[in-house]
Amino acid sequence: MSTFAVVQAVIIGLLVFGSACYAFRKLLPGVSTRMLASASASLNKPWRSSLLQRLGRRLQPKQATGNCGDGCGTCGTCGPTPPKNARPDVQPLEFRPRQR
Amino acid sequence: MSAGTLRIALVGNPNCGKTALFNLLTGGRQKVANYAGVTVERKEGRFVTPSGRVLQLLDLPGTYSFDANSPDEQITRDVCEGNYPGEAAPDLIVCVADATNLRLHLRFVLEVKRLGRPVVLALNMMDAAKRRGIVIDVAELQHRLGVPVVETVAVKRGGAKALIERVDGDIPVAAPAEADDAASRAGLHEQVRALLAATVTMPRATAAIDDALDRWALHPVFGLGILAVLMFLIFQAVFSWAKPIMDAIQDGITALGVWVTAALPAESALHSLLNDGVFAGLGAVLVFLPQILILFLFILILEESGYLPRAAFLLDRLMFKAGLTGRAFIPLLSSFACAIPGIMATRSITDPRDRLTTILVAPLMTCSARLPVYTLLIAAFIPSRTVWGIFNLQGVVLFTLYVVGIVSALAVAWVIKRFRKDKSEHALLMELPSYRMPHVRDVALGLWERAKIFLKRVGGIILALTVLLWFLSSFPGAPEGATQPAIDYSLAGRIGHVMQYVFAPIGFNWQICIALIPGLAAREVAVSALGTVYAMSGTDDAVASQLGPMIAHTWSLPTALSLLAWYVFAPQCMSTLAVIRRETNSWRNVALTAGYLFGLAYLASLITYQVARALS
Repeated sequence: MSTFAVVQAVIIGLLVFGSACYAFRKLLPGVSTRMLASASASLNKPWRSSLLQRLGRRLQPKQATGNCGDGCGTCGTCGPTPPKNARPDVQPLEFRPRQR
Repeated sequence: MSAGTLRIALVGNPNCGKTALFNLLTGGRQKVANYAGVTVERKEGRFVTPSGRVLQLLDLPGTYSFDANSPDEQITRDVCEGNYPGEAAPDLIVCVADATNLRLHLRFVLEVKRLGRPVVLALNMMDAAKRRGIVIDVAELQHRLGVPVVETVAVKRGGAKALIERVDGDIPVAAPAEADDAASRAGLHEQVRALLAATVTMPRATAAIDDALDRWALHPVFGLGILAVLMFLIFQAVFSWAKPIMDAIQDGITALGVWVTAALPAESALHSLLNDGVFAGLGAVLVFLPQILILFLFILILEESGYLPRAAFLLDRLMFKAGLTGRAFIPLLSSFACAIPGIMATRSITDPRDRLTTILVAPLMTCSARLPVYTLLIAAFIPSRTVWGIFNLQGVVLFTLYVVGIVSALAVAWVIKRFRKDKSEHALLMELPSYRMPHVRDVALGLWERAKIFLKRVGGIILALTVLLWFLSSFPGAPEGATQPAIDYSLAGRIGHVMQYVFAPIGFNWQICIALIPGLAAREVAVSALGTVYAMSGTDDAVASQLGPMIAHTWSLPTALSLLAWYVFAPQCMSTLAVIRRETNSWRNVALTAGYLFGLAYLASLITYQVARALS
C-alpha cells in the first residue's frame, strides 16, 4: 500500500467518522446527550487513570439550551441558556373542559 | 449570579419595542418586527453600565394584562410575580410603553405598578410621537404615576441613554402592592383616562398616514388585490433578480473544485470525495443562496413596515371559514421561513384546539428549505419565457406552488374543524401597528442573519450528510466485470433500488429515492444528495457539475412535476416533528402529522405523475 493510499484512507476515515458523529449529535440530540453523559460518568471514576478521567470530563455534555427546536439551529432564533433549575421553556398543549 | 448583578425585566404590551430595546442595550440580535407576538420566549442578556454595574436583562413576551390567557403571556406574569421556577423575581421592572399609543399601554403600566416592585416606565418611540405632534408632560406623568419615567427610541443608536442613566443610579422605591381583583381592575381604565387628560396632548388618535394607507390596504376588494399583487411580485423577483448571481456562484464553485482537486490523482477516492461529494453536493445547494436572500428581503421589509397584521386582518374571514383563528396568521407566516419558529409562535394562541390545528398545518407552509428543491426543478423543466406580456413563467409556477401550500393548509384545517367537537367561535382582536419605513440597517442585519443560518447549515449538517452519502454511494465498490456504474453496487444504490418498488408508481427513480433519506434531516439536503448521486453515477463531468441540466436530461416531465407535488406536502423535516412533539407533549400528534403529510404527498404525487403521463 502506497503512502498516498494510507494517508487517503486516514483522511477519509476521519472525515466519515466526524460526519457521522456530527450528524448523530444534530439529529438525535437527546440520545447523544444521554450516551455522552453515561460514557462520561463511567470514565470519570476515581480508580480510572487521570487520562481517562480527563477524557470523561471532556465528554460531559453541556447543559442543553432547551429554548428552541431540538438541535435544529434552522431558524436562528434560539435564545440563551436558561438559569439552572428553570423549568424548560416549553409550553405543551393542555386541554381542559370549557367552562359553560 | 454575582452579588452586584441587577436583574431587570423588560415588560410591556406587544409591539412596543421591548426586544429592540433589549438588542440596543445588550448588543443582541433577537428578532424584531412591526407586529405583535414576535417574542414568545423569555430571552436573557447582559450589559455593563458606564459605572460598571452589571445588569442582567430579561426580555419577556408582550402582554396586555397579567390576566394571562396564552402560554407566552403566562411566562411574563410568572417572572414578574416571582413565580417562575428556578428564577428569582426581578430587582427592577422596566415597563416599556409605546408613546404613540399610551391610551392602550398605560393600563398595563398601572397593573405592573400594583405588583409592589421597583418600576421604571420607558416611553418608547418618542421620535414617532413627536413627529405626530403628541406632547407628553413627562414630569407630570412621573409625578402622577409615582414611578420614574424616561424617554427612549429603541431603534436609534444612543436611544436608551436616559434609561441607562436611570438604571445606573439608585433603584427606585417600590410602590406598595395592591390587591388584584376584578373591581380594582375595572378602575384601571378610569385611571388611564385621568392620566391621559392630565399629561398627554394628542392631535388625533391615529396617524393620518396610517388612515390614508389603510383605506386601501384594508379595503375588502382592493386590499386583497394589493396583497395578491405583492406576493406575486415577490416570486417574480426571486427568479428574475437572482439568476446572474447564481450563475456567478456556480462558476466560482466549479472553478474552485477544479483547482482544489487538480493535484489529486483523478481515480482516487479522495478526488471523488471532494469532486463528487463536497463540490457537487454542497455546490448544488449553495447556488440557491441569492434566491433565499431575495425572498427574505421582501419578507423583512413587509415585517418592518407593519403591513403583515393588515394581511392577517384581510385573511381573517377566509381563515375563520377554514377553521383557523386569525391569530394563526403570524405563526403560519413565520413558517414560510421555517416551520419551527412558526410552531413555537403558536404559543400566542389562547385556545389549545386552535393552537393544535395551527401546529398541524404549519408544516404545509412553504419553508425556505423547500426553495432550493422548487427552483432546481422549475429552472430545469419550466421554460423561462414571458407570459401575459410581463410575467416570467418560472415565477408564476413558483407562486403557484406557494399558493398550493397555503390552500392545502386551509383545506386540512377545514377537515380538522369537521372533526372538532368544540365549534365555538373566537373573534380576532389584533392591534394594527403604525406603518413604518423599514430601517436599512435592520433589514441588512436580518439578511445577514439569514445568510449565516443558511451557510452554517451548508457547512454543518448538509456537509456531514453529503460526506456520509458519498461514503454509502462508494462502498462496497463494484465487483470484477461490473457493467453498471459503481454506485449501483454500493449500499446507497441498493437501498435506492429497494425503495424504488414503493416510489415507482409516483415516478421516482432510485436516485430520487436515495435523496429522500438524507432529505429527512433538512429538505434542501435532497438537492445536495442528488448532486452527489448524479456525480457518482459516472456521467460526463461537465454535465454532472450542473445538476439542473443533468436532471433535465435524464428525468421525464411527469417525474419532475411529481417530485414538486411531493415536496409541497412531504413531512421531511425531523426537527419540525421534534418540535411538534415538544410543543404538544404527544407522540400521537407527531404520528398524525407525519402520517397525514406522507399520505397527502404520496397521493398528490401519484395523481400528478399519472395525469401528466397520460397527457404527455
